[in-house]
Amino acid sequence: MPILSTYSSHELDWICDFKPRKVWPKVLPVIAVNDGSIKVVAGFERRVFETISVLIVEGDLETVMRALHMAGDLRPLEVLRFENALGHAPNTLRFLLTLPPELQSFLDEKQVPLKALRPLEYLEPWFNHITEKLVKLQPSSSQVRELLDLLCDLKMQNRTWAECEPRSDLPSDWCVELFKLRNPNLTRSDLNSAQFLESVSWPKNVRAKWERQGDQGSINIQARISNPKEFQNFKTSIQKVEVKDELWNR
Amino acid sequence: MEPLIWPLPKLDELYIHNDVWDSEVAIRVRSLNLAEAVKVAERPYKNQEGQLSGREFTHSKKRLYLAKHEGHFFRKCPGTQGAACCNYFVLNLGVQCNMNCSYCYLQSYINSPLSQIYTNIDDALSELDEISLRYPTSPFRVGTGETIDSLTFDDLTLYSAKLVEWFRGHPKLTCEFKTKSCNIKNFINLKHSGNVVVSFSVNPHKIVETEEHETASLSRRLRAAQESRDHGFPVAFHIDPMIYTEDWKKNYFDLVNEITSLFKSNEVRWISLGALRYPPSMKNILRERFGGSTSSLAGELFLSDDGKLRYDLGLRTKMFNFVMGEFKKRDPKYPVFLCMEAPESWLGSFETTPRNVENISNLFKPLAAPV
Repeated sequence: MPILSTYSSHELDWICDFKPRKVWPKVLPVIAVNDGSIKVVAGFERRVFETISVLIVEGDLETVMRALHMAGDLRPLEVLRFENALGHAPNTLRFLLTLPPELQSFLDEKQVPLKALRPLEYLEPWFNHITEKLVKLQPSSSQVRELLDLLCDLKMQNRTWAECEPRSDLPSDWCVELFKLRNPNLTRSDLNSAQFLESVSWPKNVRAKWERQGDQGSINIQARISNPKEFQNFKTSIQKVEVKDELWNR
Repeated sequence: MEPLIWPLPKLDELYIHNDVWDSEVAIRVRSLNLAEAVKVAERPYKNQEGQLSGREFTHSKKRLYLAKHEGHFFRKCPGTQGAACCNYFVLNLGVQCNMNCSYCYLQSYINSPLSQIYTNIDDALSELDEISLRYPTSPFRVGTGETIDSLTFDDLTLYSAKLVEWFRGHPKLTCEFKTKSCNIKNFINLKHSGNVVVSFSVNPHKIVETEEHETASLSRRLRAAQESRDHGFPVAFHIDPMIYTEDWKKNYFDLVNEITSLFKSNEVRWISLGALRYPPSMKNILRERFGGSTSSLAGELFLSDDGKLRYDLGLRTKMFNFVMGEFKKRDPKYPVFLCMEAPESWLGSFETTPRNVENISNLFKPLAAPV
């Protein structure tokens, strides 16, 4: 039978405190398991109280923990902290437990999957800068992934934080800046292609610009045609446009 | 001239399944004293659910497990989504490699914490017998170097000799040994039907030194290719993956020079070109194992339609055109083709698709139906 008792905070073992995001409901007592010491398994935020009502339940620690904190309800880093409390965190991801709590909380809020956080392993000296900027700029989950990957590559190329920090308050701008820094050759070649296309005399009502999608650069041509005659004119005039092969092979 | 010595693999752990303890391969491996052989009733390490860490992957190269392969050996090359298919079939006689190339795709593919050699090659050959009966008119090309290098473990298995012998009786089919080693000694003096192609995956000296760790030097690979040719074996080259560096043109110019100075166009069965590519998920393991200095990681790669990271298509086309041009300048008959590239790349480099390119079109013809 579960027993409800009162303890002072220091009489309880808080080793399983994995800092869950959700606060334990105030109407419920702290839950604990007695496996030699009285281990709290839910209601961790109440450790600051002097006296605490504790319901000691039967069952082994892991089973009770898993029953109270369903994996599907936890965010990625929360899962990692949870598994770590039970001694099951994979070695390869333990470094994530050293991220500043504010950063952990931000990444969980955006639900960034753990595998996308692997680049952080190489960014430890920049943790504080990254935390500050991510919290301020509030990038989306996919932007966070992109930013971390780019920052990791740049750090491994011995770039400094001063070179990598954002210049504006828009996360999309930061992604673009880092992409350019990470890929100087492509950036130069795309710029040349774009400038070349601007120098071409395109027929009236035709707009052309250089676009990149992944590994392929291409010309996006837009034409406004409102009658068959204009279409004929478009076909004739577009044939006269000269675009060098080198545009694609810079 | 230095002899073509190929070192035995260095092992920390060796496991042999009960059922194959007395198999030909196991007896041979035990006699080589590479590590203390442990007899096991089941696979000693389970496959991981996700990708191995860099450390686990490196460790898996030092643990060898000998066991039977239970499934099918022979299957169509998975190729890559959207790429032109060259009708290649693979016969996997093991998994993992004791060499250590920075760009190796096995890093994204293997989730086994140990290397494995399948001891039941006779079952593989029976499977080939059956297939050759079902498809009597299909000139299959069968490669043994997809999930394992064809020759690096040959001193442990002597499979090259068995395969040469089997293919001697099946002259319509072609076998390809694909390697970065120079380990040709176990089959080079055998009688053969000229249908075992010894192919070497090559790159310029600089790339071999910086990216293809623990492989045979380029000079040794080329010497092994010369010896293979001199013994009547057709030879082929895979310049794949081409790796971009600031001085890539000079590097690949020198490589083409070396190959063409040693081999006439009619002495080479094919030369395939491909550029660096890998799935994005491989970046983590690359970072862990090779750091930021490897050209495989430092290069500018972007997501392509098939989900792999590749160089910009314009740069790839330029690199392919350059190498192809250098071969063709020396002799237009060098049979060069692109591997795992989409039709866009073919059109960029050949101005047509592979089935219309002279010298290599037969590699890309659809195969006949089974009887």
